[in-house]
Amino acid sequence: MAPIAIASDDDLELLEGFDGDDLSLSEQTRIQAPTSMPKGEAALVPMPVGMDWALFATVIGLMTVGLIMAYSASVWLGLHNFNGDDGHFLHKHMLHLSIGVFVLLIAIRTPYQLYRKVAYPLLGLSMVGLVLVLMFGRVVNNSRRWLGPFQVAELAKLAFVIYLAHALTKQISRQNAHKFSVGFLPHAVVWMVAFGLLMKEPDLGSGIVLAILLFAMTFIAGTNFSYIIGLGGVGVAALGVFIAHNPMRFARINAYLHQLLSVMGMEALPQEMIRGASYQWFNGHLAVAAGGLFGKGLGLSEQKLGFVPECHTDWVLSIIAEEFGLIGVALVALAFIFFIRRGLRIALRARDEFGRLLASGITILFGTQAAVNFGVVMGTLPTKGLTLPFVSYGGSSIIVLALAAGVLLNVGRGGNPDAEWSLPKLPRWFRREEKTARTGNTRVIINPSRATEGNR
Amino acid sequence: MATDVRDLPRKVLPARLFQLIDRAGTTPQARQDRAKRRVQLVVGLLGLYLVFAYGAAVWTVVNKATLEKYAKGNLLKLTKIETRRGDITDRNGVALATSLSANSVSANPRWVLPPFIKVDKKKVSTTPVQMPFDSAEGIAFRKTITDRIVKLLGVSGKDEAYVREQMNRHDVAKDGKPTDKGVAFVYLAHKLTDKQSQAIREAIADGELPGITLEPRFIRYYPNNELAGPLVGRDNTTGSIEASFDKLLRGQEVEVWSYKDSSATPLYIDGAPDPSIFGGKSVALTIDEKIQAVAEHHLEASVREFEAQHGIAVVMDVQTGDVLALAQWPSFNPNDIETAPKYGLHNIAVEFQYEPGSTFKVFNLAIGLQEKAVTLEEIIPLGPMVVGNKVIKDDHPHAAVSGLQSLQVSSNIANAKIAMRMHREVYEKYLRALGFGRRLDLGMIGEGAGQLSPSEKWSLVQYANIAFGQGIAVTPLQMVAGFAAVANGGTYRRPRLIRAVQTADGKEEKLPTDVGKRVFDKDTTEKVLQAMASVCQPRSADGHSLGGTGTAARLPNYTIGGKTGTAQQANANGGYSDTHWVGSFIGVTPIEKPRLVVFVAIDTPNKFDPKLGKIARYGGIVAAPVVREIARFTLPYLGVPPSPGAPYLDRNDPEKAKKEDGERKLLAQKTAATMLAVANPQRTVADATPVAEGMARVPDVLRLPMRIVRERLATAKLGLAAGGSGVGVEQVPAAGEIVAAGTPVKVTFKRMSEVADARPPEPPPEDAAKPTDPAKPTDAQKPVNAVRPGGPAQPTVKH
Repeated sequence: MAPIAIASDDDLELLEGFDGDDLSLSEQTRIQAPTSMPKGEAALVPMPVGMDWALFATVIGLMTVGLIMAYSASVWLGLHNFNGDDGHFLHKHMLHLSIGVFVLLIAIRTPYQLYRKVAYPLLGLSMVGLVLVLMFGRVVNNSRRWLGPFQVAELAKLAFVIYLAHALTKQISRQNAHKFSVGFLPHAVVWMVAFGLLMKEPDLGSGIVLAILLFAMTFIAGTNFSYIIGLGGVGVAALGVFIAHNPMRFARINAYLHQLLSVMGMEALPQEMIRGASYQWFNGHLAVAAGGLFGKGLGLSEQKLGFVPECHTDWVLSIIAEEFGLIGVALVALAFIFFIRRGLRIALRARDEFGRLLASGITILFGTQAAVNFGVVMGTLPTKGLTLPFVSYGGSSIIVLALAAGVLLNVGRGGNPDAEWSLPKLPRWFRREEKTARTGNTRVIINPSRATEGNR
Repeated sequence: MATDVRDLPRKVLPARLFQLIDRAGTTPQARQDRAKRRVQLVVGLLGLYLVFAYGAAVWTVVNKATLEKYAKGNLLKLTKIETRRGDITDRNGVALATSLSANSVSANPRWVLPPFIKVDKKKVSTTPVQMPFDSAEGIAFRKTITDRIVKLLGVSGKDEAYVREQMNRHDVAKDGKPTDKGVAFVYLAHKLTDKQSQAIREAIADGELPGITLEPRFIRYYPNNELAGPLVGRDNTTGSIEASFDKLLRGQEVEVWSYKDSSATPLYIDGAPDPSIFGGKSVALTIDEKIQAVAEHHLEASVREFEAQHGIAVVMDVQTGDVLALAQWPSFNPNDIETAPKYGLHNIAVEFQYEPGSTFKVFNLAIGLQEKAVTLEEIIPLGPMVVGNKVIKDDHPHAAVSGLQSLQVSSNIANAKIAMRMHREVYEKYLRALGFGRRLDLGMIGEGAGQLSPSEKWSLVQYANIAFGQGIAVTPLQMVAGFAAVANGGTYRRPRLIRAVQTADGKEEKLPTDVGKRVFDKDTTEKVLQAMASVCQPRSADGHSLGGTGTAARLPNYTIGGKTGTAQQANANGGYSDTHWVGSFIGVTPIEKPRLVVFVAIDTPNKFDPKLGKIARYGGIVAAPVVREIARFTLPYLGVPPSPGAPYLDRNDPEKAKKEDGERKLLAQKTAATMLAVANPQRTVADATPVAEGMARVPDVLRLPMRIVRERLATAKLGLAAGGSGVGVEQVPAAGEIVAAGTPVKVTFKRMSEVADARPPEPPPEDAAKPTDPAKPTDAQKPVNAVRPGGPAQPTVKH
């Protein structure tokens, strides 16, 4: 575990009388007490990790894998459905990635503390978006998820994380986080509204991601575990009733159970399921099996030829498995585990409570999406429409998750507790004050990333 | 307010478990610590789940064997591509058999779906959604596609109804009841024209016809119909090129493992294979289409005239062993073998085995001369000859004949005597060297081997019989090859039927001519040729010539020699049949520098000749005129210079004699090469495509005699407007043009001697007869055919 710089209350008093000029750069950073930190927590001043280049490289690496796979997996679809335009999806994906990288760079430089100010508006915006989707969205594959080119549910996930981080931070600072009435119930209500709206689309997968976020983040904030167990139990029971009364979902769950048996080698998947509810999974499963240890090689997937529906989006992992084998899947899995590991590090060494919750929420968001996607493709979870972050084709997902990754990286850098709401800053190489910073301007001190770099 | 598990007594198990990660405490340090552990727990669980899912992937791969059958059957498709069968052409590239594109169009009505579903403007689904087959949209979409196909194909009426019915066909369940799904595969139309194919191909390439496939198909077409029909044949007729060289002609069986996408469309990794490069090889025969036509024409005339069962004619170039014509009558049209007589479905020129009779005496004499058992001048006394328990007789008894006359008058006794002077092993060795008694191995299915038993098994009678061609079975080609060996100076060459083989991508491999094997000395063969020439000489006043049996073979401008044969054939009981006779004539021409062997056999002529008072079955009557007619056309056609020592026919008519003198003079002035080039080499198999109903393609009739021109034009459903006489020198419209059926083709004819072809000459074949210059005569030797009653002194040539 990375060292956490702890200054006691006494130390703080001692330091108050110091003139900063007498201290070295690293010492100046250590004594920088975040003014936004609640009073009770002020004693614990963690050391932010600084700019996490390894995490940044992981994000870019996953995006690169996504770029390659977007072409490889979608080439048949482009040829077949878009009049022989094999680059149809690649070109769109490149556009999405460009926007995503731009958003990522902006978000890295935007002090995360600012999101506290937009937490409620963002939540409200995404709720309105979810309502608008139900009114004006377009139907694709029997689901109404698209508002124009945008999938609102993706934004809602990030908005929900920011909202939870903000609201829970408030309750933590008031030492109320463990209380049911304020620490859990309001968030559960917000989730229920969002879940209800998502179920109307229907988009059960996103609803469940929100539920996991709710449970995990309230848990981290210190909510009594029994509430989570209680609501979780009620939720599972409700879901059970819901599934039992919906023949289509029942069939899917039934198919899922058969899939599990089939993966475990206990039975062959019945033919009517291969053609019916398990069609997508079974073909993805064949792709995984066909890939073997080393895979067939880039571009040589056969299951992408229209057999695995959505093979360039949610099921891109099956094509990776077929073309690069278990080795390739392991690399992707390791990338996500590394991402989670670094996200955890950022969360634990976040400068403040909001940062900690925000970083854990985003890490959980990524982790959940990746884990559910892996689980679905590998047959250990029923089929859900969740993307593999940065790898799957899909504009909304990539842009929102790039924003989230940027926020996470900024938490690592410590943000700027004194930042006022303003337009995002220009990149460093455009800024004039950077030059003055090197000449001893005190503003540089509040740039924690600088400080930690010096501290290493 | 619910109870916090941390507040439960420590002995409660869940609380104890929970406290491992979530210790109680209210200090900031404890809170922070707790928060830290909680984050680690949640995030760690996610990571663990990823590892678990990866484990499932590993498990899947470990158990992949159970899934492979699905993957293989699902994804890979073995596409068989029908490839084009090679052409069969004559030696000049004129198509005798060709394959025409006749593609089929098929559909998978289930996949006749829009390429992508338009939900509303600009927005599309990425996955093709299978519309229910009987839904309104499905029916409507199929209708648009069907309309488009009908329009592209240009079909109407019954054909259109068929297309529409096929496109809407329902799949049938195992119990025979139609299901609600469409059928997965139907043919919509067959034998598409090039235009239709092109239209469909373009529409498919433009993505306008989802679920529709154009399948390459070919039909075999024989543009010349009966011409060389039995030789070209079909792949199920014996002795035919099609059947025998099927392996060469047939396109490679192309099986392509392609990826099959979910709509069952094959996806080739390196693009769709081009069927044309897998096409079969084309076979260029040594046959010349025009010589073949002439041979067939005259053969037919003779078979009809003498009411024979069938006739065979073979023309061979003695220098190369190339078979220039291999004709039979009755023939059949390979385009229409259903109506052909069953008997005619054989290539009898290859399969026929018969007892050659007197024509075999040529070999007897040659062997005798070579073994010095006889000389041309030796007088052989002829009396009744008893061999074993048989008496050998002659049809026309003579007291005695010379060696030469033994051939001229076709004396069985003389020939038997010559043969008996030699050891039978020696005799047999010569016959084997001449290719008798075994297959020629031309590669033809059903090729006859003939029959020649080993000499130690010969009885005396059999030995004597073999000398005049009984008791031995031969095939026409064996006889021709043997005669060619005598004619070309003693070298036996295996006949050649295939001139070259051309691969589908245009690489031509010429098959070599047989280098040959010397059997006779040149000295010997010259003497035999002299004797053969005498066969075609009429009786001379000085008694030197007793009058040959083959005088009917004499032709203007060229010398000819040969041998007649009239052979009784064996019947099933081991004896000889009274009714089954083969009258044959094998001619060698021109005699001083032989170029051709022309074989004609007429099987069982059955016409009563009042002059003879019996059925005319003699080779000299039924076959020799056919040889004459074939040689008369072929020699000038090949550019063989006229013989300076050629006999004049009918010298009693001074007018005619004068005319012939003039003709020969003209012929001699023109070199062989410039006089007549072979058929227009520009003509290719592309000319072979069938023409529309009511139209006709003008055939090439240049350099053909009028009778054959008339016949060819009639076959092509065209009329003839002839001018002049002789061979065709000009035709309007030109060959290859397509005109309305019945249009008269204006053909200008000129006497052969007046023909001067300005076209650049084709280099004469190897060892082709060099033109002789009549201006430089030599007196080194007496002319071969010295017996020329009343003729003026002719310049002679050394050869």
